[in-house]
Amino acid sequence: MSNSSRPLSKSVWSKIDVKSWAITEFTLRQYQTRKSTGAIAMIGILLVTLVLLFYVKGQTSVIEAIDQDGDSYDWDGDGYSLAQELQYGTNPENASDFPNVPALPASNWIDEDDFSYSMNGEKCQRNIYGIVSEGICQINVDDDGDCERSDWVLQNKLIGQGGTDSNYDDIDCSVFISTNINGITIIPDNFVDEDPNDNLYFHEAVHRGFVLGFGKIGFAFLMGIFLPLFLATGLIRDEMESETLHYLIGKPIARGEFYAYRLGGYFVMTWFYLAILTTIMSLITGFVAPSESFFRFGDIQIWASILFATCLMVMAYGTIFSTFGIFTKYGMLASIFFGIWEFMMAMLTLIGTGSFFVTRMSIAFWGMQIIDSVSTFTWNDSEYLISKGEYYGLEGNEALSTFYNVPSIGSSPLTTLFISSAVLIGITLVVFYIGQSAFKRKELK
Amino acid sequence: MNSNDSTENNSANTNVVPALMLDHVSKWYGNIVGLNDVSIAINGGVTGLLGMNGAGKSTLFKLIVGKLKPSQGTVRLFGINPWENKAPFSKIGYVPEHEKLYDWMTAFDFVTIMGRLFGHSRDSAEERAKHVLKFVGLEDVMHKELGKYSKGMRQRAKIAQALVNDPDLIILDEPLQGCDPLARTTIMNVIRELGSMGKTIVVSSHILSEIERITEQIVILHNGRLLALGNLHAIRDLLDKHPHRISLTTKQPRELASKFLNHESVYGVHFPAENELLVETHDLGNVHRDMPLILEESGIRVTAIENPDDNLESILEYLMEGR
Repeated sequence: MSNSSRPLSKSVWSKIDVKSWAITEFTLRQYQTRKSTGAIAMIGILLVTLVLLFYVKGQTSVIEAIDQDGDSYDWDGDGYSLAQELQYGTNPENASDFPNVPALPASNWIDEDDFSYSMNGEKCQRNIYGIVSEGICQINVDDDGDCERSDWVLQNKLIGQGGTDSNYDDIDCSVFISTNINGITIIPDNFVDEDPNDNLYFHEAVHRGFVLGFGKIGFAFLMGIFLPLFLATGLIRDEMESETLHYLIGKPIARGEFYAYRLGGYFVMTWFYLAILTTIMSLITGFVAPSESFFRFGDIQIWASILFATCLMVMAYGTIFSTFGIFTKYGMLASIFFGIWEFMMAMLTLIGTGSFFVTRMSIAFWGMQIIDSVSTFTWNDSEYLISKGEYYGLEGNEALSTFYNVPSIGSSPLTTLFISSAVLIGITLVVFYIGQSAFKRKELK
Repeated sequence: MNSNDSTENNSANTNVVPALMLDHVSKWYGNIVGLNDVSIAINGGVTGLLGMNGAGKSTLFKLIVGKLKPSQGTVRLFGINPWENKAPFSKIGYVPEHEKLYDWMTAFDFVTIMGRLFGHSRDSAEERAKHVLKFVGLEDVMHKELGKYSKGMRQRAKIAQALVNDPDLIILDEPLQGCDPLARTTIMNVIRELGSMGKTIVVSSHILSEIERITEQIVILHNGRLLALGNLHAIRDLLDKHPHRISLTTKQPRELASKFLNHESVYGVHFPAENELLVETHDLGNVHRDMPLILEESGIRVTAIENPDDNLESILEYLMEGR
């Protein structure tokens, strides 16, 4: 060992990449050796497994088909369903008046006009009593043709006011869709999308409800708060209590930086874990959920938003909890109280996002806004599904309507996404600044 | 940083900046005084910091390594305030008093990661870790987990982590506490060798004989105050002129007592136990010089000789009386 003299002036800021990675790697190794880390990881995996089992069971069950528009019934007992009698212009209420063709099975008229999930269409206008609204119009969506066929004599009588353009978009048998600050407005013409596929609706609504529900509660809230509670609160405090902190900070590293890299190790650990869980969830639900192809690729961005929101929440909560740990040895207790507050705010956010201004004083609100913004963008027909489900009393609607919320911040999903992310990052930075300032001035007795 | 730069440069131009300097430093914990108006400057060699438990040794060290902020006065490491600026830590190795280590790590991993925290690359840190672990005698067991180490081995691992960056100033807080005799000898040899390399070493203990075997340069703290500073032998010479006791274990204490009473420097004898003679003197050196002759002439077998007053408490008592 030589006794060479080294310049001191730049020793704190030199080789910072080496020091930062050393602290991060050390923190990761420390997590790996703790039994509590394994226990928390296992609890998360068990939770996901259990919930997935329920999900798969729900998705593989079959819902009894219901004839929402009643056209499969043989009202007069002549062996012909209402739809067939309408089609041939015979009286559905007179048993002696029936079509001169073989009777078709009633099942032909059940679930025969499903919802149109696509938001594609031509630009159009709706003009009702002089009030014009812009939107897009879906055409050729009358699956069973009962709106489009003019030879269905009696039906045309039944259509009533508005005829085959009851939504006033100047297009017969269409669905008018407009997007504005209040959300999405979807208005179909009469006899369009009037007899949805119950089974398909159930699985679709339950799938969306599950992804949003578990994404918001299971991931964003529960994992978002419990991972930091157990993994971040003691990030600095545990070292202070066990008196091993000096080995780490008795080096040419500013305490604030040390704290940042310590948090870095925690972020890497939790983000990696969350990425694994969301990947498992997205893969299994992607294969099991109803889809036109073998996999629901469209859901990937929803899962990505859940992962993104949870990572930001884990980051914000982790910084807050570890700062509590710096301030007091009762950091865990303070974090639990904070967690209770967050729980209340999360529940309020789920009940009615945006209705309670106080929810904006929570991390949970902003995290859920991120998921809501992306789900609004990706599943832009969810409101339509909910309103139709409520109208026909379809099974599965409750799951979707409970967890689907239109974001209350920003004029568009992208704005919401940006604002919410910025708020969470901002909270993290402010709390980190407070924490590192306190740590710098902390005497280690 | 600039002010520190200029401090460093100016000092280099004018005179040598001491590795460690405390100027009228006090530290209070509420109403309790941890350290009271201590001023010292240390540069080079091995310095023993002596003091009873609670004397302020650990407080002094914590102030030096920037864990505590002085309530009053200034602490400088190589001319820089360690509370404000962590730069001096690149030249410091600190061995804390407590036993806590990362038991799940091997000594090699532990010292390597400590090296990386100084900014050394992984390869460089590993090389340094091997070198210092060999230096402290842990080469053969460096891949064993620290949790499986004995007390002495743990102390040596702590010393190794302090040496990994080849520090100019090494601070060891009670490094021999709880170690077995073999480990003590090993650690003392390590400290002496580091001292011979020209490092500035400050080592604390509350046991006089331990420090005596390592260095002659001592600082004595008592109740947070600096009680003495200087050469241990000079203090000991003063102490030797002070009333002192010598305990001899023998089967014929009374016969032996008569021989000692004839000595000019002995003014009293006692028999605290059946086989023990306690000789009282005001010139310890003189009695020790003549003792072999007295014992030889008496022909009485003595199985043990101890100086009960040759300890830190006695020195402290003496120094306190002189105040």
